[in-house]
Amino acid sequence: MGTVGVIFRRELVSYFTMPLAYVFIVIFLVLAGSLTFYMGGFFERGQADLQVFFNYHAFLYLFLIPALSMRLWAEERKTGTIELFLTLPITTVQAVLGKYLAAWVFTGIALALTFPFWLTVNYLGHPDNGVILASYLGSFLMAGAFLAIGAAISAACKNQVIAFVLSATVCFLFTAAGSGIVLGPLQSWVPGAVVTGIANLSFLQHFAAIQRGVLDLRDIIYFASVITLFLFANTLIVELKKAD
Amino acid sequence: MIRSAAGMTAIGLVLGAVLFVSVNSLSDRVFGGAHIDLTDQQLYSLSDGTKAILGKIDEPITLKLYYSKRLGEVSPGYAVFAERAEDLLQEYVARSNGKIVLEIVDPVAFSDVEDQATAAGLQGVPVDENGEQVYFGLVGSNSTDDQDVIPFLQSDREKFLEYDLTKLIQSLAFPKRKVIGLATALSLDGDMMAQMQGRPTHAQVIMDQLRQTFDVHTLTPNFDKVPDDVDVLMLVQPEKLQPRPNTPSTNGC
Repeated sequence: MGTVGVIFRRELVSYFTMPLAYVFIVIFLVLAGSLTFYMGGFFERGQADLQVFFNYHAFLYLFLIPALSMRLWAEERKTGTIELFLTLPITTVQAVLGKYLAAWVFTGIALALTFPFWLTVNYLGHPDNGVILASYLGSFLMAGAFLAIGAAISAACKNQVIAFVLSATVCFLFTAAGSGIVLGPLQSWVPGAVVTGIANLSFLQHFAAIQRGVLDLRDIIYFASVITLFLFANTLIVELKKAD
Repeated sequence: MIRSAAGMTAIGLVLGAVLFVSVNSLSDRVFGGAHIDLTDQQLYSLSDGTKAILGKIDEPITLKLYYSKRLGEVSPGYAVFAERAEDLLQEYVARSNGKIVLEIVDPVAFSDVEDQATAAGLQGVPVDENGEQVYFGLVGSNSTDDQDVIPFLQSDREKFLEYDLTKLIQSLAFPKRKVIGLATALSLDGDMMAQMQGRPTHAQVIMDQLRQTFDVHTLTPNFDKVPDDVDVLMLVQPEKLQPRPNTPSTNGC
């Protein structure tokens, strides 16, 4: 794990040497705040909880996480630094894990910086802090899943814009898998069991289950397996492109 | 046999995806109910009251959950709720020492099961213009053929799901309702004067709630003996009330 740690640290520090980190964090916080207060009607609800705040996370991640993940591999390939990177004495798995973990921890930092919401709601009332803790964990897991998808797609693309658009689309499919926009075109010709299976793959559904304040093993396995699947795909793709 | 690198990658990806789907469908079956409840009030764990009632059941109770899979397909929110209701019911079964039997049926449109569902008093909800109806209700019955029904499990009552289920089981496990003798100087059942004059009046919410589970007998003021059929005597006499009309007040007014 030592090598993964080295790549992880190098990547994480590099975020903060670029404006990317600051832009990402500021935009994330501003959007999370304005969506919660204006669109979510945080005060109008008169409820001491952060439900509206977490409700918008999936949609924020939908376009912010691909923006973060698009450069992970595509940039290295574009500038050619990937050749140098992969000639270092590291395995592809270590490289994938190091880059991914750094990006995941970075989104974790952005998420943790929303703590003023938690302070506010605790100042205003007596929220169920167990539910808030579960929601934060769920949100972090969901961010990890988005990121893994984005990283795998970034590895397949040389162009960052294409990586962004494709990642956002795939993330959208996973997010909205339970809703009519994805299921609607399928319902008429796909058997019911398959439709239910697809609906079960929805990020929103698993996130909503955690958001109730219950850490169900199935939801955790779901997010863990999405992350594992896409990191596996990521490794395969990097290996494949290395041979090009 | 030599395969191209791209071919191997594609095979790897497909195998990964298959593994992903199988892990998730397996975990759905194997790990149902394995969870940590982080809510303050343990909303998603069985309460002590429920466990006590489940421990005291003598006669077997059959619960039949009618859930139209079509409902979950039309509105996935209900699929999540149905899964949770099913998990909770399984938890009841596990804790009932085999006294509760759970059946889950899918009342497909225009089938015998659908006829049973409507006969039991379940409420169907139309999903399309063809008159197809979906059901999501619970019918409980005990060994003496008493029946209690939740016509439709509303998703907005999700927070009270355990309460509703336990109430249904309690009414089946103990069909003989306890009698509460209520001694009070308050007009909990609504204003007496208004009742006599035929004006509309409402009982207090607590009375409605009590009557759902108990027989409530209001005792006359100045009663000298608690009637024999009363199981529980309930005295409602808050401090600092105005004196009763028939007692002379101390300041002479």
